[in-house]
Amino acid sequence: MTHRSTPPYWKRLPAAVALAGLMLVLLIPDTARAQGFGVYEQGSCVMGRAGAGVATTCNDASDIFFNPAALTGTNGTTISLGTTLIAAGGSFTDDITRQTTDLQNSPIPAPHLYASYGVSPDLAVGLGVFVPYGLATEWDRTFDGAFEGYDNSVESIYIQPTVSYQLTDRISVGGGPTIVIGNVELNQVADLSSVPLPGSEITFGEIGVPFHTAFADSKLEGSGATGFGGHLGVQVEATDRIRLGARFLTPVKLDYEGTATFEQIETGIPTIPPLNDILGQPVTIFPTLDALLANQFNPSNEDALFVEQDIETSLTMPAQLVLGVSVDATDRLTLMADYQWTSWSDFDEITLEFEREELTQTRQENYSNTNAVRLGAEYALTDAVTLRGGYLFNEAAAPDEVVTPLLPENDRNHVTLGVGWQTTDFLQLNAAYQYLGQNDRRGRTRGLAEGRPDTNGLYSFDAHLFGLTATLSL
Amino acid sequence: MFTLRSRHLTLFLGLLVGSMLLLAGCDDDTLTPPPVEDELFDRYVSLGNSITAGFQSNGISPATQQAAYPVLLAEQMGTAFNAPLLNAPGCPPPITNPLDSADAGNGDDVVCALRDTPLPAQVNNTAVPGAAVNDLLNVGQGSNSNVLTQLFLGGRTQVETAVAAQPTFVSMWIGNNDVLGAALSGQVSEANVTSVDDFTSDYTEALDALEDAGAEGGVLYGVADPTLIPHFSAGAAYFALEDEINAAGTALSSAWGSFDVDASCSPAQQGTTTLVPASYGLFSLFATALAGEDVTLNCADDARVLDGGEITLLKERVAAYNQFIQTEAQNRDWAFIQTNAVLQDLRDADDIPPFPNFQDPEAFFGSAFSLDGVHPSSSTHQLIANETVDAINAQYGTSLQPVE
Repeated sequence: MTHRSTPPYWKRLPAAVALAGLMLVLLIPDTARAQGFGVYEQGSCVMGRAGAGVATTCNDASDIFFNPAALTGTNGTTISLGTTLIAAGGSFTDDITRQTTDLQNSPIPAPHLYASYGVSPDLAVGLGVFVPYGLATEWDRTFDGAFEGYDNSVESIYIQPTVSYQLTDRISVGGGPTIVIGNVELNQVADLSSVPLPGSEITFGEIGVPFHTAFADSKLEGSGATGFGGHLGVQVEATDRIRLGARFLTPVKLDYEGTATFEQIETGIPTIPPLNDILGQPVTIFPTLDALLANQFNPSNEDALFVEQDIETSLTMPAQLVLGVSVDATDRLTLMADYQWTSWSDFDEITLEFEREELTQTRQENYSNTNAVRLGAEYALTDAVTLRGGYLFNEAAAPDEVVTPLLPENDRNHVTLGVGWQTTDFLQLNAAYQYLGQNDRRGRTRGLAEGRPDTNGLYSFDAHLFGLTATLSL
Repeated sequence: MFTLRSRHLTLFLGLLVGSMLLLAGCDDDTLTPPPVEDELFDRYVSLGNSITAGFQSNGISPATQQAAYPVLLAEQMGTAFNAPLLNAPGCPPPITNPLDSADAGNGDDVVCALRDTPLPAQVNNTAVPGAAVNDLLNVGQGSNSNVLTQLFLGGRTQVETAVAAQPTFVSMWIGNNDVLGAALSGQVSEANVTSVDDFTSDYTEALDALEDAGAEGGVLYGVADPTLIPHFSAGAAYFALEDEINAAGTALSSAWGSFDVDASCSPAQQGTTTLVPASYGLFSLFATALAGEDVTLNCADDARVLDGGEITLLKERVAAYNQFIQTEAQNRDWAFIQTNAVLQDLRDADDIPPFPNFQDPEAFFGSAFSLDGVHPSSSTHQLIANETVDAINAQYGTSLQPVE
């Protein structure tokens, strides 16, 4: 391809916006899941420095996420479009059987799109679309943990119009409202042993049906939940070499309305003998157990529990507070350090309300607020090529007893490498690689119950992340 | 200028490599469970009947389930082991006095307590009271399934339940019920004891399935000779103790009738060649006399008394089963327990009395057996566990410690 002479700015803008918009539409629907509930890889430039950059962002409009105060000083229109491909691997090893089951996740793209426009040297506006919270975990349906969830996803798409203003020579502020669109999905296998006999309070488990006898496959989906919040940032040039930055993203509560659907799984358990004697009350003599259960899936049976029905739930996307400093060590080397606090305690419990009230369940999550430290460095190798690297540590949010197949997380150490290349005045490319190493953690594949160990095995997890962002300066 | 740059670059890359090395190698032994005594015992399952399930004194409760020999053995192995525990008082609750019909649980409406929850993830003790060898592989119609089969296995067979627990080590003590029912009824014939062919084919199929499921070792127990258990007493014992039986009856009930022992039960006639099950001599005849009737035990005519021919058939059949079981154990390099040698020792030591002890209803059938005279007491379960420890150590070179 040969370079043509650059057309005037007003001719280029519509085409670029249209292209970016099309790419976003192609990327976002139902693939915009990301592993790890918090996804910080919202731009490949900052990703290369392990996410450190609240004090010194990249001039690629990703400031909208990394510090909304930093848009000031931008010239003309800047559009960044990119994606982070998250290839997660993990496994669970059962204490007793010693069997290891692997996570089935395929690589997941987490896209981002930013556009900014410099109105004047002191004022800039922008619009960003990113997915700072998301998770996807896929396990085999025959996995013991499938009773907790085997194909699960949460995605929260943030749309943020942003204004940034240079208050003084050294201080800029910025911010904007966030419009959040949330989708959630939980696929679970249901355990017959925990379900009461029809018309009784006695559970099938109490009459001997083995633990984790699958009898139903349930899919719970909620999409299009909308919530509102805000994002504020400030950046201070303390000296010629030292800058400080801070940003705060408010928590956003999302109320989901959705549908639960069920499919019967044959248990293969033969006839249950007449239990009148032991139950002390008349009990139907079941032709076969599966035939009895089939009635619970029959939409024309008014009392059937496991029929398509409405569900409701709420989740709160936590707040983020980031404080950081950057130092220009030399003309070419910049060192950065960020501290991040995330209000994961907002994620305390999830109540799934079913139309059939008997099915309503509350999962205790009891997450703790977390701290993270990001250390990054950026080195200008030439005027056009920049090298980046970083290290990041973040704490686990989940307490021991809720380390489940849904999100088997723990303290994590990450290292990153990145490169930026200003190909032309018009196009900048940034690429980054991140290795996410997670300490092994004990967890469970079963519901919590007094008299049963809280954990029954070991989760291992790690991920490779690849980021690529193209920035167009118009 | 270039030198300065590359020095920074070197420092920067050095820091990166250093932090990567920090991430490597974070194995932590505290995250995995402590190893069991020997890998062989990683997952132990037991199959069997009422004895293995922990049935005692005509009942089964969580306490008797936990006193069963496989539970004791698993503790010595240091391996996780789940019995299908019932709620208290059990199903049915064990009796506490064999001569008192209004015993624990019977007075209540509670006929059967259900399973304790939360359920264990795996059931390791798959034994079910009443199970004969064909019940290892069958459940429901045509089998000896009962309420406890449902409560313990939930519709699966013993072998299916055992295979689901992915056993590395297996114990199996089955076959007693293939002859015991006939012995207790006093009507022993080819028609109501399991044929050797049927026995061996079911037994082999069960063992093959367990080995296919990954079992690397195991222990097999010989079938108990019913004539050795304290539930059976010689006709001559009744004959010798006729006065004591009547004295005990008078002491227990003001309505006492009389208990006559016919001369056919004397040592001179058929007293030493017949066996009277307690279910007949005591829980039927004696109980009837307690209600005021006059009863007579006749060793020549009473259908429920085992005669010489019936006793011979029982002993020969048990010997044939045990010959086969011992050969199976040898062929598979598994351990084997001579159950009847243990019982004979208990007889010789008088821990199995020749006749029930009316003076001590709490040890009515002696210290080695529970109050039904059929099922071993907790002390005998410990003895069996220790016999098993010795047999396993001898077979596999392991160093399991005896139960203290």
